[in-house]
Amino acid sequence: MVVHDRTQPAAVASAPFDADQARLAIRRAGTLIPPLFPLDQFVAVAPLSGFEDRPFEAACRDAAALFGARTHLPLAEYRRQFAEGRLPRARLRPALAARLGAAAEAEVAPGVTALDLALARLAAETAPPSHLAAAKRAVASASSEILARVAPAAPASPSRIDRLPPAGAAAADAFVAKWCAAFLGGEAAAMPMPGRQLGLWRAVKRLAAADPDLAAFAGPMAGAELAAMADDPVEAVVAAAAFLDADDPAWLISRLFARLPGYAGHLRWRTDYAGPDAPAASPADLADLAALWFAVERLAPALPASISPQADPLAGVAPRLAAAAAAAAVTAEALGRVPSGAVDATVLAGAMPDADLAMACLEAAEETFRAGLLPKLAASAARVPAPEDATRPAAQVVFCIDVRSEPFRRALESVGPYETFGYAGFFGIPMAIAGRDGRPRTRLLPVLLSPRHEVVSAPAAEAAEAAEEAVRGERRHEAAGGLFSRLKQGVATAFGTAEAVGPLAGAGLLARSIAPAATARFARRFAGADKAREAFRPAPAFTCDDGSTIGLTLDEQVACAEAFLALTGFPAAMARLVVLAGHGSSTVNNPYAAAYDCGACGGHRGEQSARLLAQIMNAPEVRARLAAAGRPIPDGTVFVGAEHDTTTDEVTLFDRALVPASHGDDLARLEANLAEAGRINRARRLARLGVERLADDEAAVRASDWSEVRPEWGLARNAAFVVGQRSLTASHDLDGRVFLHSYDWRMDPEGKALTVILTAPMVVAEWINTQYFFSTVDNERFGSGDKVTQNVLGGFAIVQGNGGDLKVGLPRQAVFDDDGRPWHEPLRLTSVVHAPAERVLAVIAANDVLKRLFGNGWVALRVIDPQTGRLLRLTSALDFEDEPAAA
Amino acid sequence: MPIATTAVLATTAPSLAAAAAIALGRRKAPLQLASLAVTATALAAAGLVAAWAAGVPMEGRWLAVDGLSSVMLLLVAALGAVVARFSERSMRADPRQGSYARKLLAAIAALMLVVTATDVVALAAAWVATGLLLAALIGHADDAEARAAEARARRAFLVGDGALVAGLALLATAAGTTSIPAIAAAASTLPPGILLPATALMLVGALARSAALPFSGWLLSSLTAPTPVSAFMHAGLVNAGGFLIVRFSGVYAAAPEVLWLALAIGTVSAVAGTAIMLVQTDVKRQLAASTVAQMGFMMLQCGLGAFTAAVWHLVAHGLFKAWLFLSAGSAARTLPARVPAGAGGAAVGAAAVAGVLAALMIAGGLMSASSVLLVALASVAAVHALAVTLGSRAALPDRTALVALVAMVIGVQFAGLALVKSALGGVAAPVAGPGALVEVALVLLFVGLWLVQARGLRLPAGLYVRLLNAGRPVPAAA
Repeated sequence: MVVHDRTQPAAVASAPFDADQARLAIRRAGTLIPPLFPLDQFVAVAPLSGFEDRPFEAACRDAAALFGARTHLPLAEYRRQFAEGRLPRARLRPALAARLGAAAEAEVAPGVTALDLALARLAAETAPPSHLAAAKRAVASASSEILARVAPAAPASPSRIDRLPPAGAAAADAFVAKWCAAFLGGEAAAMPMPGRQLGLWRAVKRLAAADPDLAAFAGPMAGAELAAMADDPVEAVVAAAAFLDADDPAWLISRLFARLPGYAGHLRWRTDYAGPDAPAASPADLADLAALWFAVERLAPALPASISPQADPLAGVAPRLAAAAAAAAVTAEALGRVPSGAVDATVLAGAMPDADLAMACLEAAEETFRAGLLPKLAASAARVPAPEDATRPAAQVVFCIDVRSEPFRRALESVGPYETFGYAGFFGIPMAIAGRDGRPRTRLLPVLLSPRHEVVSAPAAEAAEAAEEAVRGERRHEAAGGLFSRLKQGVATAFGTAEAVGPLAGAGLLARSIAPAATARFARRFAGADKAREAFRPAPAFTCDDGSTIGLTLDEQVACAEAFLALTGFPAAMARLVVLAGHGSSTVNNPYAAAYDCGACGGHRGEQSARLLAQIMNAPEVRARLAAAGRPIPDGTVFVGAEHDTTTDEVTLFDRALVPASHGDDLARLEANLAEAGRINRARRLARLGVERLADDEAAVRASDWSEVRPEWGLARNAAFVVGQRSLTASHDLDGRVFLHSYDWRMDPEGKALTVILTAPMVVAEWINTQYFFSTVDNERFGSGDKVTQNVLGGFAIVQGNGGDLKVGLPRQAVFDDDGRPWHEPLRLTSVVHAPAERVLAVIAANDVLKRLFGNGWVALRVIDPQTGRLLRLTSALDFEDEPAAA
Repeated sequence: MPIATTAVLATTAPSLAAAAAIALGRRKAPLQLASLAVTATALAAAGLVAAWAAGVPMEGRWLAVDGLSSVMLLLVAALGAVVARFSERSMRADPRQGSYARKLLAAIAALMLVVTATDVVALAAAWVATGLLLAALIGHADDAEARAAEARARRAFLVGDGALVAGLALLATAAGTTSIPAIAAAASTLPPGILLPATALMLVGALARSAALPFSGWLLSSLTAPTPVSAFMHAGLVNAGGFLIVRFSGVYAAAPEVLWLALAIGTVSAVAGTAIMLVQTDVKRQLAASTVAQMGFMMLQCGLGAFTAAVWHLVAHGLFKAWLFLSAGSAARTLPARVPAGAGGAAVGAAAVAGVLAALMIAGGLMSASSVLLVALASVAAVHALAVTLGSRAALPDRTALVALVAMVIGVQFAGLALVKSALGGVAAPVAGPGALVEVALVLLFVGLWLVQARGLRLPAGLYVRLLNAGRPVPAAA
């Protein structure tokens, strides 16, 4: 696993700023920017991953300042939740009291404490003028120390661009964004930017000198100055830093990167994650971007800091206090007469910054959520385990840990004697699958890992003809698409092409409007997509024509099989059928399609991994080795690969030809029950999508309608990660909010499996959780905004409208409902582990990533100790205490 | 027959009534209402056109149905219905969907009135209304950038609409009538001192609406519009410029100097729009630049006096561009293929075959001289498609099928052209075009540039920067 350096950039030594220092500074500045993956492998990335080295609240403060973002829900939303009773007073009081400390009990007015005052902020936000005058007097007599706490001054920016008038700063941003777009999006242009092979900085430098947009904000000489800068990006950075006389160049780089975090994120991806899959024809990394930004910083006019008006941080203090007092029924007179000993407490509580108040609301909301979850799990854990059920389950079905699996598993269990499990959706095989016909490979693994196996998807023996047809379809599709784009971009051919294609397009417009599902089916058939899924099968070990083998060695296959059994705590009593079900999402005309696919498979469908592990588990030589190692698989057990379509709730079983005839009846029964479970889950999901009439085919329409902006809710509302056996959760409706990872503490005495679960799948869950969290709290900065004005750039990213920065995170429609209320409830992940407390502690102690996530409050850990039955919580000092009984 | 005005108004009535209901405070499901209303309008329009085709006379005081308006009505109504249907899902999370639905409904209805107006007052009123509504739709997102784009469109339309109204007023005053057919009939008797400035002013109005140079900036910076608005804008509203020239073809026939101007500006727009498109990296801006080029081509056709061809072009391009805009979300997974090595050879072959083909057709009297350009460029596209297809590995198994497909597409195209021709009948008065020599020169220009493009042109830095910046908005302070 790659663990990235998360050191703060501020800690640069005062050594002369030479090339090495510059490289280090660029690297450190880059760590604050989360990577932005291309759309075809769009996966959840923790937006504040560069800040996880500090406590959550401090990280939010720092990130908010750096990115100019909000890191909490608007107070108006918490006020609504408070008014609706979803945010109970009983949970808010302790959260606010902890924040106020000793000041909480100070008496502001007869019968009104400072705590009451803070709480009253959630009731109203405006106050009558008489209160405002009284509040101003109170604020005037508060101590400076308290004022600094309620109105922290923003640090002065080291950047010249920050001091430009808004139009100038916007022009500088637009200049950098435009050239990054021209360079990085070149793949999509028929006539790409010249000189891309030279790298981003060199190529831009050659052309941008002639750009009148540069002169518009940097003056007429800027072009010539730009042309005279060093060709080497690092040299250019060093020279610019010297020219600017920057105190802390690393900090300046961070500030500049954060002006356009999308482009910086894309280059971070190229620098740190893409590896051999980075576009080779257009080399670019963070040093190029730093050079470009430093050039702009250097060319921008140096205005004195005093020119840009600094907003008075104190301006909001008195209005906040006045509103709080009015809502707490403290009269203007009383507010004017607060005892001098209580003034500080009054200001501290009544004028608490929005971010602090929102943090208390977040803590209260998290406690509320946990109070609904933990007692249920603890009760199930305490129940005396039933004597081993003599009846063998009809089948065991393994799903991805994804929160969307939970309701489906519950539905399946309700229709038949099925046992279900949760395992990471790449089924523990870190592979890249080769593209057919010379197309690039696809990485099917969590982005934190690097592929260890190259796998080939080969025509299935029984479907050779279908495979040929599928290849023909794919080539047909590709050729038609390539021909079309060539024709429509030719000076002489564009006009005739529009006329020739127009009537076809007209037919397409009507078909897509009237019969979206049938049209999407036709399009898939034309492209050979459905045939290819069935006819090609990933081969555990593929023998090439020259006799060499591509894939996994027997040892590697056995390792994957063992990992699967160990991590899930798979029982020795196996059913006749064990289904491994990956997942994917069907959606059309959706640039965010990958965001709904399997994150553990790098934002792709999970079908290949499931089918590969099923074949490995069925292989006689693997079974022989497993038996020798004491984990025999019964002869009558057959593994089957499958895929759960999360948009339509259909489950497709693959490679049926490999299932012996003896299991035909089992398979047919299972298939019927999967369809029934699909119907149940579909109805549940559609109700949450706001479909009023019960229209079962609405799901199919959502999966195929080109105008759909919300094919499904994805992982919205995710909030917890449970590690344990299904018996812990089986009897509870967890509302699709919980990642479920199967685990049996009795089979893991050394905590090896637990270590893997907490450091890999749980970290992925935390990335997903924080992505949804921050996309919701500030959709403009951490999300990608409204889908209907989005614009695909270069085939790999999204911009809004006419251009600007690359958008990161999720679109508004993915996390907000149609009325504009957040559908995703931003809560930090709560991880619940069913294992002995000391074993969990040992695992944490040995892993820095866990210490950081738990200790800094990014993930809350609760442990249900099977040996003592106690429900424990991990404190920020990383020791356990009893979870207080629910209030 | 005065009934025509009422009949056309009746077809727009469902849309206008729905817009009014939303404006008056109906809050529930405005998008569904809009979709329903536009579908009703589209069906009514189809009925109206059918009635006209069956011989029911439809000439009213203000509005009329004839061949040209039939074609345009069907296009506008069908696109409107598709776009309203698309908006039902895509816009349902919009906080101001009522306002959106109202503006869209009104824009569709107003455009239907533009294409059926038979009186210059009605035409001018509906024309100005579509401009105002279009600008409002561009600014729908209501952030700084959207408002700037809206203002830019308004400025362009202020110039264009002002010129158009002045030109119409001049014509009407000189001809002593506001009836468009009467003005056309009187055109040849008008003094050139009136006719030339009037038609030139109207041309300015047409160029501004069709985003031809030098007015293309408003369209290139209008990407702030929601996707379905872009589809309707690029496929419907911008066509009004070409429509205007064709509607007044009888007048323009008497002012060939102005048609020369249209030809020149159209040619420059077609080439410049294509060049701008080639360097863009985001899908919507590529599509917008392509519209500039295609509308330029339409103006070029008008300038040649090939009015039928211009109408067919705007219909086919409208469908083509609506399709591309509405499916712009799919651009994440399909990247355009670059011109491959060896394509230059295929292109030269294609051009040669096309030239011989066109020459044979003209020599055999199969095509009138005013179709040389169309035939030549269509043949270049078709032959190039065939050459590339035959050379690609994909084609090997289904070569025959692909050849048949290309033949079918060309067949459909010519059928469409013939259909428009028969619908238009006498509406677009044939005028003496600039002659085959000019057309051959244009063919040489386009094919020549294309051959340069196919050889992998390297742009000088200054030109590249200009193309990249063309029409880019001045960054708005956040």
